[in-house]
Amino acid sequence: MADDHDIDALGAQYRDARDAIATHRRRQARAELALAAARRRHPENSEQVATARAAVERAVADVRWCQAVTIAAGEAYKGQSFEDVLANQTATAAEIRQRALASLDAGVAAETLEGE
Amino acid sequence: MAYADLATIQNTDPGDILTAAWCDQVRDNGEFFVDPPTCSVSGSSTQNVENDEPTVLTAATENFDNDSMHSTSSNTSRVTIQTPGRYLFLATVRFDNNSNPGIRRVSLLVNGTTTIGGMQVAGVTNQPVRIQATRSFVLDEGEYVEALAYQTSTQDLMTVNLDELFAMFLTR
Repeated sequence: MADDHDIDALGAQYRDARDAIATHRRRQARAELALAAARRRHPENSEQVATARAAVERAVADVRWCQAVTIAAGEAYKGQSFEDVLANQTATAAEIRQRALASLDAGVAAETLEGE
Repeated sequence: MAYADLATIQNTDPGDILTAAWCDQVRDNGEFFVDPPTCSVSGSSTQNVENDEPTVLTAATENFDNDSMHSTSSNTSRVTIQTPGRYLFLATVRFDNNSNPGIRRVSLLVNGTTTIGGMQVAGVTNQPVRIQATRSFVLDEGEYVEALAYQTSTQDLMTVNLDELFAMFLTR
Protein backbone atom coordinates (compact mmCIF):
# COMPACT_ATOMS: atom_id res chain seq x y z
CA MET A 1 0.00 0.00 0.00
CA ALA A 2 1.06 3.59 -0.45
CA ASP A 3 2.95 5.60 2.09
CA ASP A 4 0.49 7.13 4.55
CA HIS A 5 1.59 10.64 3.63
CA ASP A 6 1.80 10.24 -0.14
CA ILE A 7 -1.55 11.72 -1.05
CA ASP A 8 -1.09 11.23 -4.80
CA ALA A 9 -0.31 7.54 -4.35
CA LEU A 10 -3.21 7.11 -1.93
CA GLY A 11 -5.56 8.75 -4.42
CA ALA A 12 -4.36 6.46 -7.20
CA GLN A 13 -4.86 3.51 -4.90
CA TYR A 14 -8.44 4.57 -4.20
CA ARG A 15 -9.17 4.90 -7.91
CA ASP A 16 -7.55 1.54 -8.70
CA ALA A 17 -9.64 -0.18 -6.04
CA ARG A 18 -12.80 1.47 -7.35
CA ASP A 19 -12.02 0.52 -10.96
CA ALA A 20 -11.30 -3.04 -9.88
CA ILE A 21 -14.94 -3.40 -8.83
CA ALA A 22 -16.09 -3.10 -12.44
CA THR A 23 -13.27 -5.35 -13.60
CA HIS A 24 -14.32 -8.11 -11.24
CA ARG A 25 -17.97 -7.51 -12.04
CA ARG A 26 -17.24 -8.19 -15.73
CA ARG A 27 -15.66 -11.47 -14.69
CA GLN A 28 -18.69 -12.21 -12.54
CA ALA A 29 -20.96 -11.67 -15.54
CA ARG A 30 -18.90 -14.09 -17.61
CA ALA A 31 -18.98 -16.64 -14.80
CA GLU A 32 -22.76 -16.30 -14.47
CA LEU A 33 -23.25 -16.85 -18.20
CA ALA A 34 -20.97 -19.88 -18.02
CA LEU A 35 -23.05 -21.25 -15.16
CA ALA A 36 -26.25 -20.78 -17.16
CA ALA A 37 -24.68 -22.60 -20.09
CA ALA A 38 -23.50 -25.42 -17.84
CA ARG A 39 -27.00 -25.82 -16.45
CA ARG A 40 -28.41 -26.14 -19.95
CA ARG A 41 -25.93 -28.84 -20.88
CA HIS A 42 -25.50 -30.78 -17.67
CA PRO A 43 -27.57 -32.02 -14.73
CA GLU A 44 -27.88 -29.68 -11.78
CA ASN A 45 -25.82 -31.99 -9.56
CA SER A 46 -23.08 -32.51 -12.12
CA GLU A 47 -19.45 -31.62 -11.58
CA GLN A 48 -19.57 -29.14 -14.45
CA VAL A 49 -22.37 -27.17 -12.83
CA ALA A 50 -20.67 -27.30 -9.43
CA THR A 51 -17.46 -25.97 -10.93
CA ALA A 52 -19.28 -23.16 -12.71
CA ARG A 53 -21.20 -22.27 -9.56
CA ALA A 54 -17.98 -22.10 -7.55
CA ALA A 55 -16.53 -19.72 -10.12
CA VAL A 56 -19.54 -17.43 -9.72
CA GLU A 57 -19.19 -17.48 -5.94
CA ARG A 58 -15.52 -16.57 -6.19
CA ALA A 59 -16.28 -13.74 -8.59
CA VAL A 60 -18.98 -12.33 -6.30
CA ALA A 61 -16.57 -12.52 -3.35
CA ASP A 62 -13.95 -10.67 -5.36
CA VAL A 63 -16.40 -7.87 -6.19
CA ARG A 64 -17.33 -7.51 -2.54
CA TRP A 65 -13.70 -7.55 -1.55
CA CYS A 66 -12.90 -4.73 -3.96
CA GLN A 67 -15.85 -2.73 -2.60
CA ALA A 68 -14.40 -3.10 0.91
CA VAL A 69 -10.92 -2.15 -0.29
CA THR A 70 -12.34 0.94 -2.00
CA ILE A 71 -13.89 2.10 1.25
CA ALA A 72 -10.71 1.41 3.19
CA ALA A 73 -8.53 3.15 0.60
CA GLY A 74 -10.86 6.15 0.67
CA GLU A 75 -10.55 6.40 4.44
CA ALA A 76 -6.78 6.09 4.20
CA TYR A 77 -6.73 8.92 1.66
CA LYS A 78 -8.72 11.10 4.00
CA GLY A 79 -6.17 10.69 6.75
CA GLN A 80 -7.08 7.55 8.65
CA SER A 81 -4.35 4.97 8.95
CA PHE A 82 -4.95 1.66 7.25
CA GLU A 83 -4.45 -0.07 10.59
CA ASP A 84 -7.23 2.00 12.15
CA VAL A 85 -9.59 1.26 9.29
CA LEU A 86 -9.02 -2.42 9.87
CA ALA A 87 -8.94 -2.27 13.65
CA ASN A 88 -12.04 -4.38 14.07
CA GLN A 89 -11.13 -6.93 11.46
CA THR A 90 -9.72 -10.32 12.32
CA ALA A 91 -7.15 -10.32 9.53
CA THR A 92 -3.88 -8.58 10.14
CA ALA A 93 -3.10 -5.40 8.25
CA ALA A 94 -0.31 -7.23 6.41
CA GLU A 95 -2.73 -9.92 5.23
CA ILE A 96 -5.23 -7.33 4.13
CA ARG A 97 -2.57 -5.44 2.22
CA GLN A 98 -1.43 -8.58 0.45
CA ARG A 99 -4.93 -9.48 -0.61
CA ALA A 100 -5.73 -5.91 -1.61
CA LEU A 101 -2.72 -5.72 -3.87
CA ALA A 102 -3.64 -9.07 -5.40
CA SER A 103 -7.16 -7.88 -6.10
CA LEU A 104 -5.85 -4.79 -7.84
CA ASP A 105 -3.57 -6.76 -10.09
CA ALA A 106 -4.13 -5.50 -13.63
CA GLY A 107 -5.94 -7.81 -15.97
CA VAL A 108 -7.30 -9.82 -13.10
CA ALA A 109 -4.38 -12.19 -13.41
CA ALA A 110 -5.58 -14.02 -10.36
CA GLU A 111 -8.89 -15.56 -11.25
CA THR A 112 -9.61 -15.84 -7.56
CA LEU A 113 -8.11 -14.37 -4.46
CA GLU A 114 -6.37 -16.70 -2.13
CA GLY A 115 -8.49 -17.66 0.78
CA GLU A 116 -11.77 -16.74 -0.90
CA MET B 1 -19.55 3.38 -6.16
CA ALA B 2 -18.40 4.39 -9.58
CA TYR B 3 -20.30 4.55 -12.83
CA ALA B 4 -19.48 1.90 -15.43
CA ASP B 5 -20.77 1.44 -18.98
CA LEU B 6 -23.25 -1.42 -18.72
CA ALA B 7 -22.26 -2.74 -22.13
CA THR B 8 -18.79 -3.45 -20.74
CA ILE B 9 -20.26 -5.55 -17.95
CA GLN B 10 -22.43 -7.68 -20.20
CA ASN B 11 -23.02 -7.00 -23.86
CA THR B 12 -26.49 -8.43 -24.23
CA ASP B 13 -28.15 -9.89 -27.31
CA PRO B 14 -31.88 -10.57 -27.66
CA GLY B 15 -32.75 -13.74 -25.78
CA ASP B 16 -29.78 -13.49 -23.40
CA ILE B 17 -30.24 -13.81 -19.68
CA LEU B 18 -29.41 -10.75 -17.58
CA THR B 19 -26.73 -11.49 -15.01
CA ALA B 20 -26.76 -10.35 -11.40
CA ALA B 21 -23.51 -8.53 -12.17
CA TRP B 22 -25.27 -6.41 -14.80
CA CYS B 23 -28.18 -5.69 -12.45
CA ASP B 24 -25.81 -4.74 -9.62
CA GLN B 25 -24.05 -2.30 -11.93
CA VAL B 26 -27.42 -0.76 -12.87
CA ARG B 27 -27.92 -0.10 -9.16
CA ASP B 28 -24.43 1.34 -8.73
CA ASN B 29 -24.93 3.60 -11.74
CA GLY B 30 -28.21 4.81 -10.26
CA GLU B 31 -26.49 5.58 -6.97
CA PHE B 32 -23.79 7.46 -8.83
CA PHE B 33 -26.32 9.77 -10.46
CA VAL B 34 -28.28 10.24 -7.25
CA ASP B 35 -25.15 11.10 -5.28
CA PRO B 36 -22.48 12.24 -7.76
CA PRO B 37 -19.00 13.23 -6.57
CA THR B 38 -19.11 16.36 -4.45
CA CYS B 39 -17.00 17.93 -1.75
CA SER B 40 -17.23 20.89 0.63
CA VAL B 41 -14.37 21.98 2.88
CA SER B 42 -13.53 25.08 4.88
CA GLY B 43 -10.79 26.68 6.89
CA SER B 44 -10.92 25.97 10.61
CA SER B 45 -9.25 29.26 11.54
CA THR B 46 -8.21 32.56 10.03
CA GLN B 47 -5.07 32.70 7.97
CA ASN B 48 -2.49 35.35 7.22
CA VAL B 49 -2.39 36.73 3.70
CA GLU B 50 0.55 39.01 3.12
CA ASN B 51 0.23 42.20 1.15
CA ASP B 52 0.55 41.66 -2.62
CA GLU B 53 1.26 37.94 -2.11
CA PRO B 54 -1.22 35.40 -3.56
CA THR B 55 -1.80 32.84 -0.83
CA VAL B 56 -3.29 29.34 -0.99
CA LEU B 57 -5.89 28.89 1.72
CA THR B 58 -5.90 25.70 3.76
CA ALA B 59 -9.06 23.77 4.57
CA ALA B 60 -8.73 21.65 7.67
CA THR B 61 -12.47 21.15 8.10
CA GLU B 62 -14.54 18.84 5.94
CA ASN B 63 -18.26 19.47 5.55
CA PHE B 64 -18.89 16.57 3.19
CA ASP B 65 -16.92 14.53 0.69
CA ASN B 66 -18.31 11.43 -1.00
CA ASP B 67 -15.45 10.60 -3.36
CA SER B 68 -12.27 10.92 -1.29
CA MET B 69 -11.53 14.29 -2.86
CA HIS B 70 -10.07 15.88 0.26
CA SER B 71 -7.64 14.84 2.97
CA THR B 72 -7.66 16.34 6.44
CA SER B 73 -4.10 15.20 7.10
CA SER B 74 -2.11 16.11 4.00
CA ASN B 75 -2.34 18.92 1.44
CA THR B 76 -5.55 20.11 3.07
CA SER B 77 -5.87 23.02 0.65
CA ARG B 78 -6.56 20.65 -2.24
CA VAL B 79 -9.76 19.26 -3.65
CA THR B 80 -8.54 16.43 -5.87
CA ILE B 81 -10.57 14.88 -8.67
CA GLN B 82 -11.01 11.11 -8.43
CA THR B 83 -13.73 10.88 -11.09
CA PRO B 84 -12.94 12.65 -14.39
CA GLY B 85 -15.58 15.04 -15.66
CA ARG B 86 -16.89 18.58 -15.74
CA TYR B 87 -16.99 20.24 -12.33
CA LEU B 88 -18.37 23.38 -10.81
CA PHE B 89 -16.13 25.01 -8.20
CA LEU B 90 -16.99 27.73 -5.72
CA ALA B 91 -14.62 29.38 -3.26
CA THR B 92 -16.01 31.79 -0.67
CA VAL B 93 -13.50 33.89 1.28
CA ARG B 94 -13.95 36.41 4.06
CA PHE B 95 -11.51 39.29 4.60
CA ASP B 96 -12.23 40.78 8.03
CA ASN B 97 -12.20 44.47 8.98
CA ASN B 98 -9.13 46.39 7.98
CA SER B 99 -8.26 50.06 8.16
CA ASN B 100 -6.68 50.10 4.71
CA PRO B 101 -8.57 49.69 1.44
CA GLY B 102 -6.93 48.20 -1.65
CA ILE B 103 -7.87 45.14 -3.62
CA ARG B 104 -9.46 41.95 -2.25
CA ARG B 105 -9.44 39.00 -4.63
CA VAL B 106 -10.28 35.30 -4.62
CA SER B 107 -9.20 32.97 -7.44
CA LEU B 108 -9.03 29.25 -8.11
CA LEU B 109 -5.65 27.61 -8.57
CA VAL B 110 -5.56 24.47 -10.74
CA ASN B 111 -2.80 21.90 -10.17
CA GLY B 112 -0.78 24.46 -8.25
CA THR B 113 0.15 26.35 -11.40
CA THR B 114 -2.80 27.82 -13.29
CA THR B 115 -4.64 30.71 -11.66
CA ILE B 116 -8.22 31.15 -12.80
CA GLY B 117 -9.69 34.51 -11.89
CA GLY B 118 -12.76 34.56 -9.72
CA MET B 119 -13.81 37.82 -8.12
CA GLN B 120 -12.01 41.05 -7.25
CA VAL B 121 -13.40 44.01 -5.37
CA ALA B 122 -12.10 47.20 -3.84
CA GLY B 123 -11.73 47.04 -0.10
CA VAL B 124 -13.69 49.43 2.10
CA THR B 125 -12.04 50.95 5.17
CA ASN B 126 -13.01 49.14 8.37
CA GLN B 127 -15.53 46.92 6.59
CA PRO B 128 -15.30 43.16 6.18
CA VAL B 129 -15.45 41.75 2.65
CA ARG B 130 -16.83 38.37 1.62
CA ILE B 131 -16.37 37.40 -2.02
CA GLN B 132 -16.79 34.25 -4.08
CA ALA B 133 -15.10 32.70 -7.11
CA THR B 134 -17.30 30.47 -9.27
CA ARG B 135 -15.87 28.61 -12.26
CA SER B 136 -16.36 25.37 -14.16
CA PHE B 137 -13.55 23.05 -15.18
CA VAL B 138 -12.99 19.87 -17.14
CA LEU B 139 -10.68 17.89 -14.91
CA ASP B 140 -9.00 14.50 -15.11
CA GLU B 141 -8.33 12.17 -12.22
CA GLY B 142 -5.54 13.35 -9.95
CA GLU B 143 -5.92 17.02 -10.89
CA TYR B 144 -6.68 19.38 -8.04
CA VAL B 145 -8.05 22.84 -7.28
CA GLU B 146 -7.25 25.23 -4.43
CA ALA B 147 -8.59 28.59 -3.30
CA LEU B 148 -6.22 31.52 -3.70
CA ALA B 149 -6.57 34.79 -1.76
CA TYR B 150 -4.92 38.09 -2.65
CA GLN B 151 -5.01 41.57 -1.17
CA THR B 152 -3.20 44.90 -1.48
CA SER B 153 -4.08 46.70 1.73
CA THR B 154 -0.35 47.52 2.12
CA GLN B 155 -0.21 45.39 5.25
CA ASP B 156 -0.47 41.70 6.07
CA LEU B 157 -3.97 40.57 6.93
CA MET B 158 -4.10 37.96 9.66
CA THR B 159 -7.84 37.55 9.41
CA VAL B 160 -8.63 35.89 6.10
CA ASN B 161 -10.85 32.84 6.29
CA LEU B 162 -11.89 30.25 3.74
CA ASP B 163 -15.63 30.00 4.35
CA GLU B 164 -16.02 27.22 1.83
CA LEU B 165 -14.34 25.53 -1.11
CA PHE B 166 -17.01 23.52 -2.89
CA ALA B 167 -16.84 21.15 -5.85
CA MET B 168 -19.71 19.47 -7.66
CA PHE B 169 -19.56 16.91 -10.46
CA LEU B 170 -21.66 18.05 -13.41
CA THR B 171 -21.31 15.51 -16.20
CA ARG B 172 -18.86 13.01 -17.59
